[in-house]
Amino acid sequence: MRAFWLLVTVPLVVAGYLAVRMSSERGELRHHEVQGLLDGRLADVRVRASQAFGAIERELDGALAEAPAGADELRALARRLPIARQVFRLDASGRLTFPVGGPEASRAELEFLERTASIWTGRAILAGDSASDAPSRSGEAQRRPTGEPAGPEDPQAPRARTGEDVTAGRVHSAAGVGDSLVDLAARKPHGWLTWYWAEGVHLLFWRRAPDRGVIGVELERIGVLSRIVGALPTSSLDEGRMELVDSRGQTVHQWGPLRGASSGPSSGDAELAAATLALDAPLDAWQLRYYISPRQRAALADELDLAPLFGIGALALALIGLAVYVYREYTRRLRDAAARVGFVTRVSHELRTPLTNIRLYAELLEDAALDDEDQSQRARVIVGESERLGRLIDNVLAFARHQKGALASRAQRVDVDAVVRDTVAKFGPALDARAIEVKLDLHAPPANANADAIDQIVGNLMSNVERYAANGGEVTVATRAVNGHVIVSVADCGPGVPARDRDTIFEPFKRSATALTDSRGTGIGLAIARELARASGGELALVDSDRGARFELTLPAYGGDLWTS
Amino acid sequence: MLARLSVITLFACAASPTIAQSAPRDLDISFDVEVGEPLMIAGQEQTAYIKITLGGFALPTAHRPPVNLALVLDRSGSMAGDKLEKAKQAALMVVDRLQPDDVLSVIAFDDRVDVLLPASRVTSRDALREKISAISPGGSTALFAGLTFGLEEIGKNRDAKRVNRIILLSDGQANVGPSSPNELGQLGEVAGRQGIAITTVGLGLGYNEDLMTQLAMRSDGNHAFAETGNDLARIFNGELGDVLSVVAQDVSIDIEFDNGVVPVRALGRDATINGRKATVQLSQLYAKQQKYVLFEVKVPPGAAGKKRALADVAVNYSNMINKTKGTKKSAVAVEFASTKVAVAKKQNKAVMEAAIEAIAADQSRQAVLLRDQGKIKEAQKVLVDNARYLQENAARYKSEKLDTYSKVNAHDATNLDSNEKWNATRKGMKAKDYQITNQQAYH
Amino acid sequence: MDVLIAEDDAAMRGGLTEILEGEGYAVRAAADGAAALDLWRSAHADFVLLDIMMPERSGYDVCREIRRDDRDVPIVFLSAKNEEIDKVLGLELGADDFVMKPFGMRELIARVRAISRRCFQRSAPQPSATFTIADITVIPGELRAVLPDGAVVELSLREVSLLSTFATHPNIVLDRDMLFRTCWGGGKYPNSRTLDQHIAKLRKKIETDTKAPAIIRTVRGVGYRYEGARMPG
Repeated sequence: MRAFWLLVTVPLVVAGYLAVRMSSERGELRHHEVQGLLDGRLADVRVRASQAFGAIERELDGALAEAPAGADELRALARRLPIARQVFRLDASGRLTFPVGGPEASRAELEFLERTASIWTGRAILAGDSASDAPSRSGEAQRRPTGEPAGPEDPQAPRARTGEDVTAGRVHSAAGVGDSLVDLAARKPHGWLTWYWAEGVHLLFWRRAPDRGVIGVELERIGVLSRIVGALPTSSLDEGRMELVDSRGQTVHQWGPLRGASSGPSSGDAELAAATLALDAPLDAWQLRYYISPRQRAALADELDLAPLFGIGALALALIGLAVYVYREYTRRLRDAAARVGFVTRVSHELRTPLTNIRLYAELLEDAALDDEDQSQRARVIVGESERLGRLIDNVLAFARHQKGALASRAQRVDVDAVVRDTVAKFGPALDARAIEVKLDLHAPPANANADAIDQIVGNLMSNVERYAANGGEVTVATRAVNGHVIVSVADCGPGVPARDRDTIFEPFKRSATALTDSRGTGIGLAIARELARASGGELALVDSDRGARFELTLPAYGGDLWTS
Repeated sequence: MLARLSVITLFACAASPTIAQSAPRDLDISFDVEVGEPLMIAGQEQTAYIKITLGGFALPTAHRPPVNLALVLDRSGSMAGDKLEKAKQAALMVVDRLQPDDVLSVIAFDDRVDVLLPASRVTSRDALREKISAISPGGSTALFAGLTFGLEEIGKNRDAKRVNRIILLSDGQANVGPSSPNELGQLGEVAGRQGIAITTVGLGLGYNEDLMTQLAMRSDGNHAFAETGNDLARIFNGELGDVLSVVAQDVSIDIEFDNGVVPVRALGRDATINGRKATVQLSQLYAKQQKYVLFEVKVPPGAAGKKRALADVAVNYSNMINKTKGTKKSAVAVEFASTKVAVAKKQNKAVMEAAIEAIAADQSRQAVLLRDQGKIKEAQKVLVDNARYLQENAARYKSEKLDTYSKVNAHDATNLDSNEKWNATRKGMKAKDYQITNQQAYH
Repeated sequence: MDVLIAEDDAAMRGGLTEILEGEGYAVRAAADGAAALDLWRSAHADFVLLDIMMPERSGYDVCREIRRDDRDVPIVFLSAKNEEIDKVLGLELGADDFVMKPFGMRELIARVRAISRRCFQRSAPQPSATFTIADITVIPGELRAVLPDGAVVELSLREVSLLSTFATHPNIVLDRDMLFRTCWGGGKYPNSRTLDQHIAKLRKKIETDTKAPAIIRTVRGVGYRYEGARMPG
């Protein structure tokens, strides 16, 4: 049984493992695909933002191209640039020439100077992107999108990121970043500077001026934001939600049907974005976020892909079904056999005791008969019949038991002659009563068989002799060895068996025609005897004979002894 | 400080809808520069008020500049019901007043933005009406995003030949996206520089009036407080009246003050003062309205009988009817006299009235600030004093306007105690202050 | 000798009892395993016959229990179970022999006598010494007698007792009562027919002519007499 289960479970386990592996790999693959899809969608949106920003850049570049130096012109210029908060001018040596303090300065100009003071004096490390459009993120900037306060502890002092263009030596020079900006302008025609102020990131656009100075504008943050947002979609193609989030993590604009866990301004904390993408520099403090619905999330999650599982599941079901079927068949047979055996055992037990009792008491009677010969005879008859009954029962039970294999497996070394002698002896009285002489000619080596089986077979043969042989004759029981077999032959001088019945007599419940009138015998004796012979690895056959019937029982010799008489 | 009660000439922009100051001359704007006290006391440094008045001209019939209008409507959950219905009705009315040459876009916002109608000419009114009728209420309030898309839509057809306008209607607090009055005000300034005026209409008692007034002020649009949906029709009509009667845009006033004259501040408007130079931008001038700018200046002492030039003023503008750019120049000067009587006789009542009103409006704003800080008693005192100040000057100048405003202040002073009343009062005060400062035609 | 029988079938129990008493054993019979154990503990037994399938306790259980007390007492199983495994189990539990049903009386008697011989060899009860009667050598320890012509016959315990009694009281008539007293232990007196039957069986074994018995003669109405030389001792 165990081997059987092993045969079922091992392939199942292997198949299951493979299925799981395959599923998870497919799941992972799909996860990456979907993730790539989401990232791609965000990238598409980012393109819009980049384009809008590029347009701003171009506008500014064009507007600042002339780069006037006079205050009035610069102020007029600023008025023509709606998103410019303040225009500024550096001369060729990096000195800030506009705005300057003094009585002429408007309040806005003074505030600008305050705001950007530390930039020009070099106390702040200001930097821009190393390559104009390449996203560059340094340690500080990376912190921003998670919502930490952008501004430094002192909101007055702007803080900026470090970049590659500002060399260490220059940074702390008294002239500040102004001259490094001029140096930068020597290498690049225009660029961006970003720094963080109260609400978030502030942008400075600078442009190389014809006089080798720099002209630039500080942009109105909200103006830039509005331009960028205006380029973004207002609806989405899928059921998720995208957001543009500023450097403080606040949602600036959102689109898509999916509602956040909190329907308030910043839903970012409550859920986890499936994908995020920062805008291109210098707007990389702002981030696009993609939130997906639970349904989409389920599709993304590394769940087992069902398809291979279905396949494996079907296979498993089939295997299990088969196993169950086979098991049930097996156990049914076992049960049936057990039932039969149980029945047999019970029946045999039930029958044996009364049988023994009959015999015992008959023997007691015989004993008590003393010299009363008649009484003794009667008792003897009872004993004989009870023995016969015993044999009959054995036949029937063996027939019902159907234990061929069992017999063969219980074969052992048997002294055939002894068994034959004992068996034949049992029939002594009955045969005496019919004046049939028994001749024994026993020369058998040990056989590899079952003693009880031999006893029953020979007993059945003797029983037939008792029944069918004519009165006053003889029966010869002989044993010999031939070619690794032991042969037991029982020959009588009875009427014999007609030729046409030679085979059929071994069939159960058949009877030789001549015995039709003889109502004794059930007709399974020979069938049983042959079954038993075969089950023991031998054979029982009716053999040609001059007169009477001659049966030969063939059995395997023990150890294959060849012993010829 | 009310010390300025003594000799005050105000520089302010005010329009009185009932007065057509200057008669239109051949479809051109009127331009006047005046000073509150043309005769000033000699021998001491004083404060003077310069008023620069610009007036529109009557539109020739059926000849108005085409309009590029964006309606940005709040449809957040709080608008559900009557409010949204009335808003839709008001919007439908706008549709009816526009012509095929006008460009209209309709943007609705809650926590998402929906461009219901991208900028398009008003050719198919029925389709338009359907779209507007179909607006349904939703989530929270992404005012910034809604406004942004309004600006985008306007941007598609923004040109100098059109009147570019956004009407923003909201009943609530902006809670998605940037929402501080300061930030939104800066956006308004950006829009204003582009020639786009944003008129803000606050509906009900739930909107942020600081945000709405800032937005309007910095872009030079109008602002109105609609207490209920029923007020919307009137307000929208008033606004459309303005929009459809623009005669001049991109009005830029440059003032150069005389050496020694020190500009202190512009009253009520945003002006950029660079030393002795100042500039003020106005978005547009309407046909039958006047707007003015008031400057408060310090005049150094002068000898009696002597003249003193105060400032040279130039105005540049786009004439929407002639489709030309116009320029006007003017100047203003004072004379010194030795007696107060003489000074008083020559006083320019209109200018003084405007100046006092502007100062009172400023005081009113102060009172609001105090009340915001919870200083109810101080706020009440300011308003009461303000009322008295106005009353005195109303008597002196025989000004109905000042008299009315005095009563308003007195009334407001009584509404500072309870918080619910304060909410409504505050909105009313801010709207009124704004309208005064802006010389808004309707309210 | 005392025998303990455990058998639930009443007829078999009766039959076994009769047979064994006939052999000369004192039989105590139990109808179930628990009663069997009670009998074992309460009285002496020289050997035990156990049926396997019994109520209360099976024969195996009883065997186990008895073996715990006494490792030597012979135990024989009577069984209808004829599976090989049962035999092995029985023998492993400590039984000395297995008798398969159906069995005959002679088979049973043969087994029982064999057991008795073993018992004698071991010790108790002490068998008598060999003695002779009418040229027959009786070997009580082997339950056998050697006839004058050399043939060996088997004797039951009672038969040995009878011969011994005759041998020690030659030439006098031993009446029934006396014979009962000496050869039938306990208070169980059989009837005259039983005595006659035993004498008849004995004669069949030792007399040359059972119709004219020479060794044990009948004294009609009284008893029996052995005519022969007195045995010494």
